[in-house]
Amino acid sequence: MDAILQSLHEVEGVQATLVVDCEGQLLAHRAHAVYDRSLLQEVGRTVVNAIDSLQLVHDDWELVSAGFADGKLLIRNLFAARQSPGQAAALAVVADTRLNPSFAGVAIRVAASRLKNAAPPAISAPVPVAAPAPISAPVPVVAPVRTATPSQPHPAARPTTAEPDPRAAAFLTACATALAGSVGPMARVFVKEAVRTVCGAAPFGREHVLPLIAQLEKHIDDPGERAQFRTTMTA
Amino acid sequence: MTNLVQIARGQLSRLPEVTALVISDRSGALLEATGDIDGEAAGAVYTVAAEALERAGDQLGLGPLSRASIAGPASACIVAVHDDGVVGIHVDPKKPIGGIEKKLDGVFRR
Repeated sequence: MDAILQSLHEVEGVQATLVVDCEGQLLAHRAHAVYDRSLLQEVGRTVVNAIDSLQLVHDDWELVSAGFADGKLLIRNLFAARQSPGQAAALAVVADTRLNPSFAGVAIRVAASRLKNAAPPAISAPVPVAAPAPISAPVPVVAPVRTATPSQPHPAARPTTAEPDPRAAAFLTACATALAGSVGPMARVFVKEAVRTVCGAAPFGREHVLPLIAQLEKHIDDPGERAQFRTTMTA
Repeated sequence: MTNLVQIARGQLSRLPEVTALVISDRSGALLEATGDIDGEAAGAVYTVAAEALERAGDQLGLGPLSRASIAGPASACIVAVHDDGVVGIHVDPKKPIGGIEKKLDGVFRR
Protein backbone atom coordinates (compact mmCIF):
# COMPACT_ATOMS: atom_id res chain seq x y z
CA MET A 1 0.00 0.00 0.00
CA ASP A 2 2.93 2.33 0.69
CA ALA A 3 4.06 1.95 -2.91
CA ILE A 4 0.59 2.93 -4.14
CA LEU A 5 0.56 6.04 -1.96
CA GLN A 6 4.12 6.89 -2.96
CA SER A 7 3.07 6.93 -6.61
CA LEU A 8 0.63 9.73 -5.79
CA HIS A 9 3.45 11.81 -4.32
CA GLU A 10 5.02 11.94 -7.77
CA VAL A 11 2.24 14.33 -8.76
CA GLU A 12 3.40 17.90 -8.16
CA GLY A 13 1.73 19.55 -5.20
CA VAL A 14 0.73 16.40 -3.31
CA GLN A 15 1.60 16.82 0.37
CA ALA A 16 -0.09 13.89 2.05
CA THR A 17 -2.05 10.78 1.21
CA LEU A 18 -4.12 8.65 3.53
CA VAL A 19 -6.37 5.62 3.40
CA VAL A 20 -9.14 5.29 5.97
CA ASP A 21 -11.76 2.70 6.78
CA CYS A 22 -15.46 3.41 7.13
CA GLU A 23 -15.00 4.51 10.75
CA GLY A 24 -12.21 6.95 9.96
CA GLN A 25 -9.44 4.71 11.22
CA LEU A 26 -6.17 5.49 9.47
CA LEU A 27 -5.04 2.36 7.60
CA ALA A 28 -2.06 3.81 5.75
CA HIS A 29 -0.54 7.18 5.12
CA ARG A 30 2.38 8.94 3.56
CA ALA A 31 3.12 12.56 4.25
CA HIS A 32 5.67 15.29 4.67
CA ALA A 33 6.90 15.75 8.22
CA VAL A 34 4.47 18.61 8.87
CA TYR A 35 1.60 16.11 8.90
CA ASP A 36 2.20 13.54 11.63
CA ARG A 37 0.23 10.39 12.22
CA SER A 38 -1.98 11.76 14.99
CA LEU A 39 -2.95 14.75 12.86
CA LEU A 40 -3.77 12.55 9.89
CA GLN A 41 -5.79 10.25 12.14
CA GLU A 42 -7.91 13.26 13.14
CA VAL A 43 -8.22 14.30 9.52
CA GLY A 44 -9.30 10.77 8.63
CA ARG A 45 -12.18 10.90 11.08
CA THR A 46 -13.20 14.32 9.85
CA VAL A 47 -13.10 13.17 6.24
CA VAL A 48 -15.33 10.20 7.07
CA ASN A 49 -17.78 12.50 8.84
CA ALA A 50 -17.98 14.60 5.69
CA ILE A 51 -18.50 11.66 3.35
CA ASP A 52 -20.99 9.99 5.69
CA SER A 53 -23.11 13.12 5.33
CA LEU A 54 -22.63 13.56 1.60
CA GLN A 55 -23.54 10.01 0.75
CA LEU A 56 -26.98 10.52 2.26
CA VAL A 57 -27.71 12.58 -0.84
CA HIS A 58 -25.08 11.21 -3.25
CA ASP A 59 -24.90 7.49 -2.60
CA ASP A 60 -23.12 7.03 -5.94
CA TRP A 61 -20.31 9.47 -5.16
CA GLU A 62 -16.91 8.66 -6.59
CA LEU A 63 -14.84 11.78 -5.94
CA VAL A 64 -15.15 14.72 -3.57
CA SER A 65 -12.89 17.63 -4.37
CA ALA A 66 -12.70 20.34 -1.73
CA GLY A 67 -11.03 23.61 -2.70
CA PHE A 68 -9.43 25.76 0.00
CA ALA A 69 -7.58 29.05 -0.13
CA ASP A 70 -4.21 27.30 0.13
CA GLY A 71 -4.79 23.88 -1.35
CA LYS A 72 -7.10 21.01 -2.09
CA LEU A 73 -8.40 17.91 -0.41
CA LEU A 74 -9.46 15.15 -2.81
CA ILE A 75 -11.35 12.12 -1.51
CA ARG A 76 -11.89 9.05 -3.65
CA ASN A 77 -14.49 6.43 -2.78
CA LEU A 78 -13.08 2.91 -2.63
CA PHE A 79 -16.65 1.59 -2.66
CA ALA A 80 -19.19 -0.26 -0.71
CA ALA A 81 -18.02 -3.83 -1.09
CA ARG A 82 -15.38 -3.04 1.49
CA GLN A 83 -17.36 -0.79 3.83
CA SER A 84 -16.50 -2.61 7.02
CA PRO A 85 -14.07 -1.65 9.78
CA GLY A 86 -10.46 -2.34 8.85
CA GLN A 87 -11.19 -2.32 5.13
CA ALA A 88 -10.12 0.57 2.92
CA ALA A 89 -13.13 2.83 2.37
CA ALA A 90 -11.64 6.08 1.07
CA LEU A 91 -8.41 7.50 -0.24
CA ALA A 92 -7.68 11.14 0.60
CA VAL A 93 -5.06 13.31 -1.06
CA VAL A 94 -3.93 16.62 0.41
CA ALA A 95 -2.30 19.00 -2.02
CA ASP A 96 -1.10 22.56 -2.25
CA THR A 97 -2.06 25.07 -4.93
CA ARG A 98 0.44 23.67 -7.44
CA LEU A 99 -1.70 20.57 -8.00
CA ASN A 100 -2.78 19.98 -11.57
CA PRO A 101 -6.34 18.62 -11.19
CA SER A 102 -6.19 16.60 -14.42
CA PHE A 103 -2.94 14.83 -13.57
CA ALA A 104 -4.15 14.28 -10.02
CA GLY A 105 -7.45 12.86 -11.23
CA VAL A 106 -5.74 10.22 -13.33
CA ALA A 107 -3.22 9.33 -10.61
CA ILE A 108 -5.95 9.03 -7.98
CA ARG A 109 -8.07 6.85 -10.23
CA VAL A 110 -5.15 4.49 -10.81
CA ALA A 111 -4.24 4.43 -7.13
CA ALA A 112 -7.86 3.75 -6.12
CA SER A 113 -8.05 0.87 -8.54
CA ARG A 114 -4.86 -0.63 -7.13
CA LEU A 115 -6.02 -0.10 -3.55
CA LYS A 116 -9.29 -1.86 -4.25
CA ASN A 117 -7.32 -4.90 -5.37
CA ALA A 118 -4.83 -4.73 -2.50
CA ALA A 119 -5.04 -7.00 0.54
CA PRO A 120 -6.40 -5.45 3.76
CA PRO A 121 -3.43 -3.69 5.37
CA ALA A 122 -2.12 -3.70 8.87
CA ILE A 123 -2.17 -0.21 10.39
CA SER A 124 1.04 1.32 9.17
CA ALA A 125 3.74 3.28 10.90
CA PRO A 126 4.39 6.82 9.69
CA VAL A 127 6.42 6.95 6.50
CA PRO A 128 8.01 10.32 5.88
CA VAL A 129 8.46 11.49 2.33
CA ALA A 130 11.96 12.42 1.26
CA ALA A 131 11.77 16.15 0.60
CA PRO A 132 9.42 18.59 2.31
CA ALA A 133 7.74 21.09 0.02
CA PRO A 134 6.15 24.48 0.59
CA ILE A 135 3.38 24.75 1.67
CA SER A 136 -29.66 14.12 -8.07
CA ALA A 137 -32.19 12.97 -7.55
CA PRO A 138 -33.27 13.76 -4.02
CA VAL A 139 -35.22 11.30 -1.96
CA PRO A 140 -38.09 12.33 0.27
CA VAL A 141 -37.26 12.46 3.95
CA VAL A 142 -40.56 10.94 4.96
CA ALA A 143 -40.86 7.87 2.81
CA PRO A 144 -44.28 6.52 1.89
CA VAL A 145 -44.92 4.09 4.71
CA ARG A 146 -47.80 2.36 6.39
CA THR A 147 -47.97 1.95 10.13
CA ALA A 148 -49.94 2.27 13.28
CA THR A 149 -48.85 4.66 16.01
CA PRO A 150 -47.65 2.96 19.20
CA SER A 151 -51.00 3.48 20.93
CA GLN A 152 -53.04 2.04 18.10
CA PRO A 153 -53.67 -1.59 17.23
CA HIS A 154 -51.63 -3.13 14.49
CA PRO A 155 -53.76 -3.66 11.39
CA ALA A 156 -54.35 -7.29 10.54
CA ALA A 157 -53.73 -6.73 6.87
CA ARG A 158 -52.10 -3.72 5.33
CA PRO A 159 -53.27 -2.28 2.06
CA THR A 160 -50.79 -2.87 -0.71
CA THR A 161 -51.08 0.53 -2.38
CA ALA A 162 -48.13 2.93 -2.24
CA GLU A 163 -50.27 5.70 -0.84
CA PRO A 164 -48.65 7.15 2.31
CA ASP A 165 -50.36 6.46 5.61
CA PRO A 166 -50.94 9.81 7.32
CA ARG A 167 -50.52 8.23 10.78
CA ALA A 168 -47.09 6.90 9.80
CA ALA A 169 -46.12 10.23 8.33
CA ALA A 170 -47.29 11.99 11.48
CA PHE A 171 -45.30 9.61 13.67
CA LEU A 172 -42.13 10.05 11.62
CA THR A 173 -42.58 13.81 11.59
CA ALA A 174 -42.92 13.71 15.38
CA CYS A 175 -39.71 11.68 15.54
CA ALA A 176 -37.90 14.25 13.40
CA THR A 177 -39.24 17.13 15.49
CA ALA A 178 -38.24 15.51 18.77
CA LEU A 179 -34.81 14.57 17.41
CA ALA A 180 -34.24 18.04 15.97
CA GLY A 181 -34.10 19.41 19.52
CA SER A 182 -30.82 17.55 19.93
CA VAL A 183 -29.28 17.29 16.48
CA GLY A 184 -30.75 20.18 14.49
CA PRO A 185 -31.85 20.03 10.85
CA MET A 186 -30.08 16.72 10.23
CA ALA A 187 -32.92 15.10 12.17
CA ARG A 188 -35.05 14.57 9.06
CA VAL A 189 -32.13 12.95 7.28
CA PHE A 190 -31.49 10.65 10.23
CA VAL A 191 -35.16 9.63 10.33
CA LYS A 192 -35.12 8.79 6.64
CA GLU A 193 -31.96 6.72 7.06
CA ALA A 194 -33.33 4.96 10.13
CA VAL A 195 -36.53 4.00 8.33
CA ARG A 196 -34.44 2.55 5.53
CA THR A 197 -32.22 0.66 7.99
CA VAL A 198 -35.02 -0.69 10.16
CA CYS A 199 -37.59 -1.51 7.49
CA GLY A 200 -35.55 -2.23 4.40
CA ALA A 201 -38.04 -2.67 1.58
CA ALA A 202 -40.89 -3.54 3.94
CA PRO A 203 -43.60 -1.06 4.85
CA PHE A 204 -43.16 0.68 8.18
CA GLY A 205 -45.20 -1.14 10.80
CA ARG A 206 -45.83 -1.07 14.51
CA GLU A 207 -43.06 -3.61 15.01
CA HIS A 208 -40.59 -1.08 13.63
CA VAL A 209 -41.39 1.68 16.12
CA LEU A 210 -39.06 0.61 18.93
CA PRO A 211 -36.15 -0.35 16.63
CA LEU A 212 -36.57 3.02 14.91
CA ILE A 213 -36.42 4.88 18.22
CA ALA A 214 -33.35 2.86 19.23
CA GLN A 215 -31.71 3.69 15.92
CA LEU A 216 -32.47 7.40 16.22
CA GLU A 217 -31.35 7.82 19.82
CA LYS A 218 -27.84 6.75 18.79
CA HIS A 219 -27.49 10.22 17.28
CA ILE A 220 -28.10 11.93 20.65
CA ASP A 221 -24.91 12.33 22.66
CA ASP A 222 -26.41 13.74 25.85
CA PRO A 223 -27.83 10.91 28.05
CA GLY A 224 -30.56 13.16 29.46
CA GLU A 225 -31.71 14.27 26.02
CA ARG A 226 -31.57 10.67 24.83
CA ALA A 227 -33.83 9.54 27.67
CA GLN A 228 -36.18 12.44 27.03
CA PHE A 229 -36.38 11.53 23.34
CA ARG A 230 -37.21 7.91 24.18
CA THR A 231 -39.84 8.96 26.72
CA THR A 232 -41.45 11.35 24.24
CA MET A 233 -41.56 8.87 21.39
CA THR A 234 -42.80 5.90 23.41
CA ALA A 235 -45.44 7.88 25.31
CA MET B 1 -33.88 38.32 1.79
CA THR B 2 -30.20 37.48 2.13
CA ASN B 3 -27.63 38.43 -0.46
CA LEU B 4 -27.10 34.74 -1.14
CA VAL B 5 -30.76 34.15 -1.99
CA GLN B 6 -30.66 37.15 -4.32
CA ILE B 7 -27.59 35.73 -6.07
CA ALA B 8 -29.29 32.34 -6.35
CA ARG B 9 -32.49 33.73 -7.81
CA GLY B 10 -30.84 36.23 -10.08
CA GLN B 11 -27.84 34.30 -11.36
CA LEU B 12 -27.33 30.70 -10.26
CA SER B 13 -30.79 29.39 -11.09
CA ARG B 14 -30.46 30.82 -14.60
CA LEU B 15 -27.35 28.83 -15.46
CA PRO B 16 -28.36 26.12 -17.95
CA GLU B 17 -26.20 23.45 -16.29
CA VAL B 18 -28.02 23.80 -12.98
CA THR B 19 -30.73 21.20 -12.38
CA ALA B 20 -31.54 22.05 -8.77
CA LEU B 21 -30.32 24.37 -6.10
CA VAL B 22 -30.58 24.55 -2.33
CA ILE B 23 -29.47 27.30 0.03
CA SER B 24 -29.28 26.90 3.77
CA ASP B 25 -27.93 29.09 6.53
CA ARG B 26 -24.90 28.06 8.55
CA SER B 27 -27.12 26.15 10.98
CA GLY B 28 -28.47 24.03 8.12
CA ALA B 29 -31.92 25.62 8.05
CA LEU B 30 -33.39 25.88 4.57
CA LEU B 31 -33.46 29.34 3.00
CA GLU B 32 -34.36 28.54 -0.59
CA ALA B 33 -34.65 25.53 -2.88
CA THR B 34 -35.48 25.25 -6.54
CA GLY B 35 -35.71 22.28 -8.86
CA ASP B 36 -36.28 18.63 -8.11
CA ILE B 37 -34.68 18.45 -4.69
CA ASP B 38 -35.66 17.74 -1.08
CA GLY B 39 -34.33 21.08 0.06
CA GLU B 40 -34.58 20.59 3.81
CA ALA B 41 -32.69 17.30 3.79
CA ALA B 42 -30.10 18.30 1.20
CA GLY B 43 -29.51 21.72 2.79
CA ALA B 44 -28.76 20.14 6.14
CA VAL B 45 -26.51 17.52 4.56
CA TYR B 46 -24.47 20.08 2.63
CA THR B 47 -24.10 22.32 5.67
CA VAL B 48 -22.87 19.47 7.85
CA ALA B 49 -20.52 18.22 5.12
CA ALA B 50 -19.14 21.72 4.50
CA GLU B 51 -18.53 22.12 8.21
CA ALA B 52 -16.62 18.81 8.33
CA LEU B 53 -14.55 19.74 5.27
CA GLU B 54 -13.78 23.15 6.80
CA ARG B 55 -12.59 21.36 9.92
CA ALA B 56 -10.37 19.10 7.81
CA GLY B 57 -8.98 22.19 6.06
CA ASP B 58 -8.22 23.78 9.44
CA GLN B 59 -6.47 20.64 10.65
CA LEU B 60 -4.36 20.53 7.48
CA GLY B 61 -3.62 24.26 7.38
CA LEU B 62 -5.28 24.69 4.00
CA GLY B 63 -7.17 27.86 4.89
CA PRO B 64 -10.88 28.51 4.45
CA LEU B 65 -13.04 26.26 2.27
CA SER B 66 -14.35 27.93 -0.86
CA ARG B 67 -16.25 25.08 -2.46
CA ALA B 68 -16.45 21.34 -2.86
CA SER B 69 -17.61 19.25 -5.75
CA ILE B 70 -19.14 15.80 -5.50
CA ALA B 71 -19.06 13.67 -8.63
CA GLY B 72 -20.65 10.33 -9.36
CA PRO B 73 -22.08 8.53 -12.38
CA ALA B 74 -25.66 9.59 -11.68
CA SER B 75 -25.31 12.81 -9.71
CA ALA B 76 -23.00 15.77 -9.44
CA CYS B 77 -23.09 18.74 -7.15
CA ILE B 78 -21.07 21.76 -6.19
CA VAL B 79 -21.25 22.99 -2.63
CA ALA B 80 -20.20 26.61 -2.29
CA VAL B 81 -19.58 28.25 1.05
CA HIS B 82 -20.63 31.86 1.38
CA ASP B 83 -20.77 34.31 4.31
CA ASP B 84 -24.56 33.99 4.46
CA GLY B 85 -24.76 30.22 4.15
CA VAL B 86 -24.08 27.16 2.07
CA VAL B 87 -25.29 26.62 -1.50
CA GLY B 88 -25.71 23.17 -3.00
CA ILE B 89 -25.89 23.28 -6.77
CA HIS B 90 -26.91 20.09 -8.58
CA VAL B 91 -25.62 19.90 -12.12
CA ASP B 92 -25.82 17.46 -15.01
CA PRO B 93 -23.35 14.67 -14.14
CA LYS B 94 -22.61 14.05 -17.81
CA LYS B 95 -21.18 17.54 -18.28
CA PRO B 96 -17.73 18.62 -17.07
CA ILE B 97 -17.98 20.23 -13.67
CA GLY B 98 -15.06 22.61 -14.34
CA GLY B 99 -17.12 24.88 -16.56
CA ILE B 100 -19.79 25.57 -13.99
CA GLU B 101 -17.14 26.05 -11.31
CA LYS B 102 -15.62 28.85 -13.37
CA LYS B 103 -19.04 30.46 -13.77
CA LEU B 104 -19.55 30.22 -10.03
CA ASP B 105 -16.25 32.00 -9.46
CA GLY B 106 -17.67 34.81 -11.52
CA VAL B 107 -20.96 34.85 -9.65
CA PHE B 108 -19.25 34.90 -6.26
CA ARG B 109 -16.43 37.11 -7.63
CA ARG B 110 -13.63 34.88 -6.35
